[in-house]
Amino acid sequence: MSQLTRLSQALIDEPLAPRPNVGYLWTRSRRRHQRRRSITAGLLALVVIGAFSITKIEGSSPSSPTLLKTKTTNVQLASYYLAAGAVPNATLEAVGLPSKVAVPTKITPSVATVATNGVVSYVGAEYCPYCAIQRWALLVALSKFGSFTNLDNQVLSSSTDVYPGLASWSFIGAKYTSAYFTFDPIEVTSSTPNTGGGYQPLVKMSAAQQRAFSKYNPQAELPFLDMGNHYITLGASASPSVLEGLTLGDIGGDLSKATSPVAQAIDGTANYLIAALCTMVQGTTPPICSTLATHLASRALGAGLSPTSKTSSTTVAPAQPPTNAPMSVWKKWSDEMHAFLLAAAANFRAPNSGCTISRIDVTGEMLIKPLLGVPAGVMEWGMSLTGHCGPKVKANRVK
Amino acid sequence: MDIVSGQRIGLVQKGELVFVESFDAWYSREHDRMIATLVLSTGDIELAVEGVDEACSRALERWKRISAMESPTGWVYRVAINHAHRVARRKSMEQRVFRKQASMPDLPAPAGELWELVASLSERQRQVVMLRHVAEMTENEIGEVLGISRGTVSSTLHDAHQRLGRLLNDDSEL
Repeated sequence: MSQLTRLSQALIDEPLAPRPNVGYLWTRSRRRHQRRRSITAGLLALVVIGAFSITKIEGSSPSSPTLLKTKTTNVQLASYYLAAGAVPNATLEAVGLPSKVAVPTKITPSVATVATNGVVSYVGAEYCPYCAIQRWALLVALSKFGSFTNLDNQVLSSSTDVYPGLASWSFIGAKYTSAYFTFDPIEVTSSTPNTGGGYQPLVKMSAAQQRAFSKYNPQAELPFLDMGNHYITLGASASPSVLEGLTLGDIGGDLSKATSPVAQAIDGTANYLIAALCTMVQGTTPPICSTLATHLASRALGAGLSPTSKTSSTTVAPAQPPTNAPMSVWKKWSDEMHAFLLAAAANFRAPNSGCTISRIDVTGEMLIKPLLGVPAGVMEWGMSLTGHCGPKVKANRVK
Repeated sequence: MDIVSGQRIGLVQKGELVFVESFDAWYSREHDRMIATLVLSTGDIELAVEGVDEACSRALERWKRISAMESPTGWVYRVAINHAHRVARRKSMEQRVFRKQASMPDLPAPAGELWELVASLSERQRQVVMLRHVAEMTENEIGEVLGISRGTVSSTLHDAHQRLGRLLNDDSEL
């Protein structure tokens, strides 16, 4: 070793600066992208203003739009993902509803979690073996309603946990497009152990996911799947043991063999997920919602058709009593109106898929003088929506 | 994120699952050495930390591609050195515009002693010496990092050794 190497070794043994954790590097990376985006947006604005000025000067509109197209690079899906995304309906029918598969839980939609209406929200972790099997079922089910790209992040579940080393992938970086709903998946930790005995954190839950997670999953089980604020699954719906010792290719191949343990577990779970997802479809339903397996799963879910199409006391607005009705009748009407608005708020879904409802409030106001036939002293209820379509934020109060 | 287990990472390359070192493992091993190399190349701890942090952050983002390179560490050094240069240029411009006094490097021992030894070398000679003796890179790797030929690395190293040898009055040590 040279003298220089020997002297500098002291600097390596006793570092001149502490080593920042990986989280700091991610934060730094995000900030760099934000700076770049700001600069790009500024330049784009200048280009648009320039183009607009030129158009004005020339006195005619340009013959072809000069919009900048965003280039997206999609990673080609590996054969096993394609196989999972194309499990034939006949196979799903043949698998049916195996008794060892857990049925998703129907939940009473809550106003507090309204932001996940119309959203399939998945909270998992890369180390988690239960997430490994649930991802496969989700892939099979969601592929019936849309398509995935960029599923190239393969992972093995933790080697030190139960069912070690199950072959799966991470939803980080994956893209899903569907005409029916949006898919919002996150993986909260990697499969790399950290010094605290846990795993390296990856992505934090959004505020909407956090609210639903806290409300419907008090034991904080992973994975947590919230299908439109109407159905949830906690943990895996089938035993991950069927994946033990199998490669991604083995699993992808087995999915189309109805009698295989893999198909029984994953396709069986997918049948229930498909039935739950069908309740989220508004308008024309995809063919998968009309199959016998989906119909049977739907019955098992206790859903029937879409929850929004069910008629109950809370889905019909109570008729307003005559002005001279006794105060007890008005009080009952006010209570029914409150329940109606709470149910309507909890089920409300933005009519435009480009819009997101982030908050709905149902608030009461005691009338101090008669209003539109409602006497003074009656609590009148109103609903306020907060959300956004694109970059703009709109707030409307409706009655 | 392709972490497969612990220190390894599984990536699909040309349809095959290959295993490379995970970012965390590489980062834990190389960080302190990179800081030492850049401190002794620039004489400025702040600049070195900024360069290494920026380069590691970029490497983390692109780890899938970088881990498959022949020398991931070489790539990170190149980015770190370039970034440190950019920051130094910006600092120098600010000093000119705002008429600030440039601060002299003030390194704690033993970095200070080493800096005194290598400060008289040219910047290129310092970089080559540090990459060779602190970062422990081969001449080929140094050439890749600095964008120069192996022959230039070799002659620069030779010149630097002679100069340092004279300073240390002990040619044989280097």
